[in-house]
Amino acid sequence: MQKLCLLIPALLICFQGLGQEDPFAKRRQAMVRTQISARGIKHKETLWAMRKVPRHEFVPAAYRASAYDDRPLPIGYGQTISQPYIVAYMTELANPSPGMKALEIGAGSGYQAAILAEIVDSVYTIEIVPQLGQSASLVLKQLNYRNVEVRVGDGYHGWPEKGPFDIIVVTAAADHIPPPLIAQLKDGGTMIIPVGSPFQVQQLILVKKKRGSITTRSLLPVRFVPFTRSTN
Amino acid sequence: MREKISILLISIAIIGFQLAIVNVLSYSQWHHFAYLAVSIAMLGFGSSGVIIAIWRNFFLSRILFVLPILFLTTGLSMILAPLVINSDWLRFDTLLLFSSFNQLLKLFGTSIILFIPFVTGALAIGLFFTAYNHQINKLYAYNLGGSALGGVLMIWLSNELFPMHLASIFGLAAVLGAPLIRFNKSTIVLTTLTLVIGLLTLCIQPSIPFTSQYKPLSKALLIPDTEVSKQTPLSKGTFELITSNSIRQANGLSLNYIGKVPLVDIAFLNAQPYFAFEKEKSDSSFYQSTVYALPYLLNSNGKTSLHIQPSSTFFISLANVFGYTPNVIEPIEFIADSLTNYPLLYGGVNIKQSYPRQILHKSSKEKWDIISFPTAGNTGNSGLNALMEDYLFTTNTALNSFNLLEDGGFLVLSSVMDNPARSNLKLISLATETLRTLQLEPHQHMLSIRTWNTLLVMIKRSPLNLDEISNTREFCKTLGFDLVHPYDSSQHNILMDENFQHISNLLIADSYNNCITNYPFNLRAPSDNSPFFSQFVKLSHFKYYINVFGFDSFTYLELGYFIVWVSFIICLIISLVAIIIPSLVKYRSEDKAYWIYLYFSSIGLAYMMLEVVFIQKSILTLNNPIMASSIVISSLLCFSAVGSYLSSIIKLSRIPQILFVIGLYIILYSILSDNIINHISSYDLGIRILCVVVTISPLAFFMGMVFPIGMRMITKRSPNQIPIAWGVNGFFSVLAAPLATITAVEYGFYQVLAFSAILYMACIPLVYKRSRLL
Repeated sequence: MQKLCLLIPALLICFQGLGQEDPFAKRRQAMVRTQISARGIKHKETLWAMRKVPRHEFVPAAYRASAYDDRPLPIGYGQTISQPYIVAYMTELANPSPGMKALEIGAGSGYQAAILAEIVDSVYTIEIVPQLGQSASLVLKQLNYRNVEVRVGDGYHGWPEKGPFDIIVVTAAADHIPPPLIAQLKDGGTMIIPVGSPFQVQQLILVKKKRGSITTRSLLPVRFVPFTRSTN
Repeated sequence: MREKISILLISIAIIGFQLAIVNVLSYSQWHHFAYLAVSIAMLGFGSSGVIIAIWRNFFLSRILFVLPILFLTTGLSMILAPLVINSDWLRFDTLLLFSSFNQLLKLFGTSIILFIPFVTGALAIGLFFTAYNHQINKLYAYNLGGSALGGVLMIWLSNELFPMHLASIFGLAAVLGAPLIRFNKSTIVLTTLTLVIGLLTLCIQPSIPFTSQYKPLSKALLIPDTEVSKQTPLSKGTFELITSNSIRQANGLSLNYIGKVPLVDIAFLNAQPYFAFEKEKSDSSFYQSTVYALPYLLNSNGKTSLHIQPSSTFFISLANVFGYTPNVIEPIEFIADSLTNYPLLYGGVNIKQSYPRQILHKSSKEKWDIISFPTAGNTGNSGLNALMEDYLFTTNTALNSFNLLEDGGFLVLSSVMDNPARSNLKLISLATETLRTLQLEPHQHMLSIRTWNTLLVMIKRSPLNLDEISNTREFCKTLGFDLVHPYDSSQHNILMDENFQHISNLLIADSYNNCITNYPFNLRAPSDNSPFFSQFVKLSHFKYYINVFGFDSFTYLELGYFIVWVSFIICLIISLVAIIIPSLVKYRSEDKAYWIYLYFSSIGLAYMMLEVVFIQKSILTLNNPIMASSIVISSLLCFSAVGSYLSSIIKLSRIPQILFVIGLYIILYSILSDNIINHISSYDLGIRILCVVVTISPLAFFMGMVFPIGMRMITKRSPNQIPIAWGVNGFFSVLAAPLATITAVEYGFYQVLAFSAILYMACIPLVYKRSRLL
C-alpha cells in the first residue's frame, strides 16, 4: 500500500511530462532551418545539437521571447549570448566529434558549452565573472549536462591539468592569444576566437597547430564584398 | 544692474551645466552623446521662444513673479538632474537601445529631465529680452559675457571637480539669480530652501556616474581582484587607475612566443583604456617577439627615439631592450610623473609632459632615429570615435615628423586590424599620401608587416636597401608575421578577405586616387583641414552598407557618425514642427516676417560654426586643445559682448556694412590663417596666445553687434516677433554644432568658414532696405 502511494504520484508526473510540449521546440526547428542551414552550415552534429539545446533556458527571463531571434542578446555584465548562427558557425569550424575534449574560455550563458557537450566527450569551461559562472553552472546542471565542468576563474592560464585539448573556444576578445592556451592545444587541434565588439558583426580567428607551427585564418561569417575588382 | 547680474548668472549656469552634462554622458556612454546634450539644449532654446510668443502677455503681466520662479526651477532642476538621470529608473545603455524598448523609454526620460533646466533657463533670458527690449544690447552683452564665463569656469573647474558635482554646482549659480530680480521674503525663503537642497544633493550624490556595462572600464572591474586605486577629474575627462592581478596586454605578439606576458595596471580616461603600466619585468625576448621590434632591429645603430603618447610602458621597455633611451611625450601629468619614477625599466627615459604637436613642429631642431606614434584604433570600435578630431594622424603631422627623422630614421605607425578593413587601410593611405607630398615613391620608403590583429607601417627617410628588406623577411619568417609591403605570398595569418592585401597594394601604386574613390569606405588620408581618422562612412554608399551589412549591424559599426546625422535630422524636424510652423501660423497676419527667421537663423548658425573653426585653428596654433577652447570661447564671447554693448550707438542703417565687414574678414581669415599659423608656430606661447586673441577679437566685436541691432529693428517694426527671433537664433546656434561637424567631416574646416561667410553676406539683402526705412 505504501509503495502504491509512492507509485501513483510518480506515474502522474510521468504522464504529465508526456503531455507537456516544449513551447519553443517549433521556433528552435525554424531557427535551425532559416538561420543556420539556410546560410550553409552542413555539419550534421552541429545542426543536431542546435536543434536539441533549449537556447531559451540560457537567456535572461526578459529576453526569453527573443531567444530564437537572429541576433545576439544581452545576458548582463557587459556580455552577450552570441547570435545562433555564430554559435553554429563556430561549432562547425571547430569540427567537433565524439571522443574529443574541448576547453571554452568565457562560459557566459553556458550555451556554447551545451552545444559542444552534445557532441564531444567532455567540455571544460571557465568564466571570470562569478555571477555568470554560477548561473551557467546551474543551468547546465538543471539541463543534466554531466560532461560539462564549469570553473569560475581567470581563463588566461587555461586548464592545464585537463589539457591538452582538441578544441579551444575563446569567447572573450583579447589583444593577444594567451601563450598558455597555445601550449594546451593538441597538435592538430583547433582554437577559435571571435574578434569584434558585442552586437557587431564578428570576425572569427581560427588558430591551427600543426607540428608545432601556428597559423591563423580570419573568417568572416557574413557576406562582405568591399571592393569591385573591375574598378581597378 | 540687478537684472544684468542675474542674466549673467543664469547664462553661466546654462553653459556650465551643458558642458558638465556632456562630460557626464561621455563617461557613462560615449563622447558622441555630447550631441544629445546639445540637441536638448537646442530644443529648450527653441521652445522657449515659442512659449513666450504664445503666452507673451501672460508672462509680461507677471514678470516679477515669473522670473524668480524660472530661476529657481532652472537651478533646482540642474542640481537634481545628475542624481535623477543616474537613478535605476532612468539610466540607459547605448548598446541596448536597439534591443530593448525599455531602454528607449529611459533615454526619453533622461532627455525630459535634461530638457527642463534648458527650457526654463532660456525662458528666463527670453523674457528679459522681451520685457527690457529697450536695453537689449546691454542684456545681450551680459548674456554673452555669462556664457563666456561659464565656459571658462567649466574648463578651469573640470580639473578640480567631477562633472556630476559640477552640473549641480552650476545650478547653484542660477538659484542665486532669483533674489536679485525680486528681493522679498518669499523669494529669500525659496532661494534658501533650494540652496539647502542643492548642498544636500552635493553631499549625497556619487562623484562618478554609472557606466555602460559595455565600456572597457565596466568589463575590467568585473574581473576579480580588480579595483580602482586612483580617481581624479581632469579637463580631458575622468581619470581612473585600475590595479589588477589578471589583466595582461601584448598587442602584436608572435604566436610562437611561449614565455610570460606581464600583468598590467590600466589607466582609463572616461572609462576607455588610455595607458598600461607593466607590473612585472619581462624577459627581453617578450619585447623582441612583437611586430614593434622591427624598427629597432633595422636601425641597430640608432640611439634616439621619440614616442608620442605611447599608451603603454611596453614601448619604453622595448626601446630600452634595444639600447635606446626613449623620449616620451605625454600630455597627462599623472602618467608623465608616474613614468618619471617608473621602476621596472631596462634603461633610462626622458619624459616631457606636453601635447605632441608642441614638439612635432617644423622649427624643431632635434632629430630622431625612430619616431613612434600610438596604435590607431586601440581603444575599441573605431565607429564610436568617428567624430573625434585627431591631429596626430594627419598628413601635416606625418610630414612634420618625417622632417624630424635622422637620415636612416623610421617613422612608425600602427593600427589594429579591423573588419571590414578600414583603419589599417587608412593608415597605409596616410603613409602613402605623406610620401607622395614629399615626392617620394612609397614602395622605396615604406615597409609594412602584420599579425592576425596588428598592422605596423614604417616610413624610412632614406630609401630602403636590400639588406633591410631581407632582414624584415627573416624577422617575419621567424616570428610568424606577414609582409604586406613588399608583399610576400607565404602568409602565416591568412585573411579570408583578400581585399586587404589587394587594396593596400593599390594604395601605394598609381591607382591611389582611383582606389580612394571606389572603395566603399572613406580611406582618404586625414589632414588638419579634416582631421577625422576614424570616420570611414561615405554617404554616397549608404545603400550599399545597408545591403551588405543590414541596417542593425551597420549602425553598430559606425554608430558615432550615424548619431550626429540622426540628431541633426531630428533637430531639423523639431525646429519645423515646434518652432517655425507655430510661429508662422501665429504671425501669418504680419507681413513679410520671413526675413526675421532667415536673419536670426543665419547669424545663429554662422556664429557657432565660426566658433568651431576658431577652436580648430587655435588648437593648431597653441597645440593644446583645452587652452585653445578656453581662449577662443572667452575671447569670442567677451569681444562680442563689447560689440553688443556698444551697438546702441550704431545707426540701424549701418547693419549691411557690418555684415559685409564680417563676411570679408572671414574670407581674409580663411586665406591667411594657415600662413599665420605656420609663421608663428615656433614663437613663445604668450605671443601665440596674443596672436589668437588679436585675430579673433575684431571679428567677434562686429559679430556681437548684429544680434542686438537686428532686435532693435524688430522692436521698431514688429515687437511681437522678439521671442521668436530669440528662439530661432538660440535653436540655430546650437544646431550649428552638429552641422559644423558634418560639414568638416564631409568637406573640411575651410568649407565651414566659407559657409559662415555666405550666411553673413546673405543677410545683407534681407536687411538692406528695411534698415533704411526705419
